[in-house]
Amino acid sequence: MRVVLTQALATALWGCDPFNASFDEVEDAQYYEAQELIATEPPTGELVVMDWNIKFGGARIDFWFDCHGDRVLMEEDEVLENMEGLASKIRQVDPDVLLVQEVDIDSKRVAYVDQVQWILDNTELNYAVFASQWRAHHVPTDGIGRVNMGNAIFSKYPIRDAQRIAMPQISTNDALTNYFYLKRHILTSIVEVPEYGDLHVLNVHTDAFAQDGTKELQIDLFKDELDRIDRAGGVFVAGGDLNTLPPGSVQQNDFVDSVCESEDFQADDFRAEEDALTAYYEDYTPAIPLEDYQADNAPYFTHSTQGGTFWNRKLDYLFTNGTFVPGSGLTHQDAASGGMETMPLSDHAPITVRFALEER
Amino acid sequence: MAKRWIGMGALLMLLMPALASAQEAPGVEAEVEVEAEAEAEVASEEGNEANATGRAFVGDTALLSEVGRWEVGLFGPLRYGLSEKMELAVHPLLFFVAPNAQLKVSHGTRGGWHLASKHQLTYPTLLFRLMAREGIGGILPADRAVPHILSLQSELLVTREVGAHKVSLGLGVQVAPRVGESQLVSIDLPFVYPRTAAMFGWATGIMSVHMQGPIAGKLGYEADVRAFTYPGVDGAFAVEQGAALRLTTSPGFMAQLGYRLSYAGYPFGTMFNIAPTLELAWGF
Repeated sequence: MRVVLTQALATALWGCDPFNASFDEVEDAQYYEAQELIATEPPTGELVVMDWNIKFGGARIDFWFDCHGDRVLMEEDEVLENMEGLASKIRQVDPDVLLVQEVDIDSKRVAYVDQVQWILDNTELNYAVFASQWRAHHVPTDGIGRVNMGNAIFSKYPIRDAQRIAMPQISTNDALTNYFYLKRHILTSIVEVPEYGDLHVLNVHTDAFAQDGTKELQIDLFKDELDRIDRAGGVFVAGGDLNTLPPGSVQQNDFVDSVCESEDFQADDFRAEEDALTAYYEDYTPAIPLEDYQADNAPYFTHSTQGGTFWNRKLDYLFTNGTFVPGSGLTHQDAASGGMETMPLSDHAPITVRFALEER
Repeated sequence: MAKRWIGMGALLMLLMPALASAQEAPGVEAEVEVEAEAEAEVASEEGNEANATGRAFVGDTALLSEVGRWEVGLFGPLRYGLSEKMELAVHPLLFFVAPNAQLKVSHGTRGGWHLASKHQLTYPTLLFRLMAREGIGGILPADRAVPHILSLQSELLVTREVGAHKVSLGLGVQVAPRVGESQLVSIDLPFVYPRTAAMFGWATGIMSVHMQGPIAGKLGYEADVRAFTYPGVDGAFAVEQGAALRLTTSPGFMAQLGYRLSYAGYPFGTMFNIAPTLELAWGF
C-alpha cells in the first residue's frame, strides 16, 4: 500500500516524464526570428534551397559516437569557431530556404549555444522553426548531460503551421534506453513565399543505427507525408538526412571510415536497403537526378565520418513535386564543387538546388 | 514573479536571525534568557507529551541526538550522540565512494534559542571518477580529469522550540579546494548543481529556515526553505522548498513522505523542478 501511495504521489508530482524527454505524437514546432530582420525582395522566379546536416557545430572533432575519438563536450570557443565556418558556407550559398539536421539549441555538449538563433543572427536568413529529436534534462550516458538537438527549417520569408510529427523509435531498445534515446520526427512547415504563395517545406533525419527495419519504416512514413501533401494539391520541397543510399550505389558497405565495433553504432551496411528510396525517385524530382548519380556516384557523396578521408557515401537529399531547375543540383564537396572546402565544417556536405517558382 | 519570491525569501531569512538577536539586547539579556529557558523547558515538556519523541529525529535543527543514541535513515545519515555537546554523523550510502564525516557541536542555549554549529568534510573525488565513464551510467564524460576535491561545509544553526514545534535558522558556507589538474564538468541537475557549485567557484553561501512539529497524534510535519548562492559560478543561485508529512510511531521509527521544489540558476538559465521525497529512519 505504501509503495502504491509513493508511486501515485511520484506520478502526480513528477509526471511520467521527469527528464522532459518525451513528445506528443503531433505538436507545434518552436518558432524563431532573427534579432534583426533583413528586408528581402520577392524572389525572381527561383528559390535557392539548401540542405545540410551540420553535426551540431562539431566540425571534424572526433566524437565518441563515431568511434574515432572520445570527445563528448566542446568549449564555447570551439563551438563558435565551428559555427562561423558553417555560417561562412551558408552566407556564400545565400539560400532562401535552408533545411538543417543535428542542430543544438540547449545542450551541454555545445556549451549551451542556441545554434538556431546563432545561425539566424549570422546569416541573411530571417525565420526558423525547430523540432527536437533528442531532448532530456540529463542523459546519463557517456557524460552527455543536458541535450536538446533537432531539425530546423530556416527561411528568408515567414514560416507558419510548423509541426513536429513523431516517428517510431527503434523497437529492439528497452523502454529505459528509448526514453533517453533519439526520437525521430518529420518537421513540416509552410513558407510564405512573396508573390508565389505557400510552399510546404519538410525536413527529416531518419535513424542511423536501426537494424530492425525502423529506418525503412521512417523513410516510408516521410514518403506518406509527401504523398498526402501532393494529393491535397500542395507543392513541397522536402529533404534531409535519410541515412540510406540511392538505388544503384556501387559501394554499400565496408567504408574505409567505418570503424565502430559496437553493435549499437553499426550504421554503414546498406546492402538490405537498396530500394529504400526507389519510390521517392519514381514519384518526385530529386535535386540530383538518379541517372547522374548512377553514372558516377562519387561527385554526389555527402558523408564521411572522419576528417582525414573524403566524402564516400550519399545520405542527404532534396525532393520536390514541383520543379527543380534542371542541372541546378549541386553537392558542395569542396572548392571545385561549390567554391569552398566543406570537409572541415561537418561530417556531411551540403546540397543545394534551385526551385522554380512556376505558376500552379 | 520568481525574483519577487526569491527576494522575499532572502529577506525573511536575513530578518529572522536579526529578530533573534534583538532579544539579546544589553540590560535585559539575563532576564530574557532566564525567562526563555523556562519557556523552552515548558515547551520541550509539552512537545514530549505531544509526540513522545523528545530529541528523536531532529537532524536538521540545532538540537543534538541524546547521548548514546544512534539514528540511521534509508537515505539520510547515520548519527550518533557522542556527548551532550557533540553529535557525529556520516552518510553510509556514500561513505565508500565519497568519504564523509559531520560533527555537530552544541553551543548551549541563548535567549531561548539553541545554538549549534555543523561542520562537514567530504572527499567526493572517488565518486566523481566513478561517474566519469563511457556508456550507460556515465554522468560525467570519461575524458575529463577529476582533481582531488575536499568539500568543507560549516553551518551555524539556531533552533527555538515553540510549543512542540521547532523553528530553526541556518547560515553556512561551503568551500571546495581542488588539487591537481581539473577538467571537472558540472552536473546541471536540480539539487545536485547547487551542492557542487563550490567545486567550480570559490564558495557557496547557504541559508535555511526549517520547521518541524506534530500535527495530530503520531503524525507530524517537516518543512524547510533552503537558499544557495554561488557567486562567480554560472547560475549563481538556487532556492529549494520542501515539505513532508512525518509519521513517528516511536522514538525508534519515523517515516516521511513529501516533495521538494527547486528553482535554480544553471549554465543554461533557470529551471523549476519538483521531486517526491521519501525517508524512513530508525533510532536505537
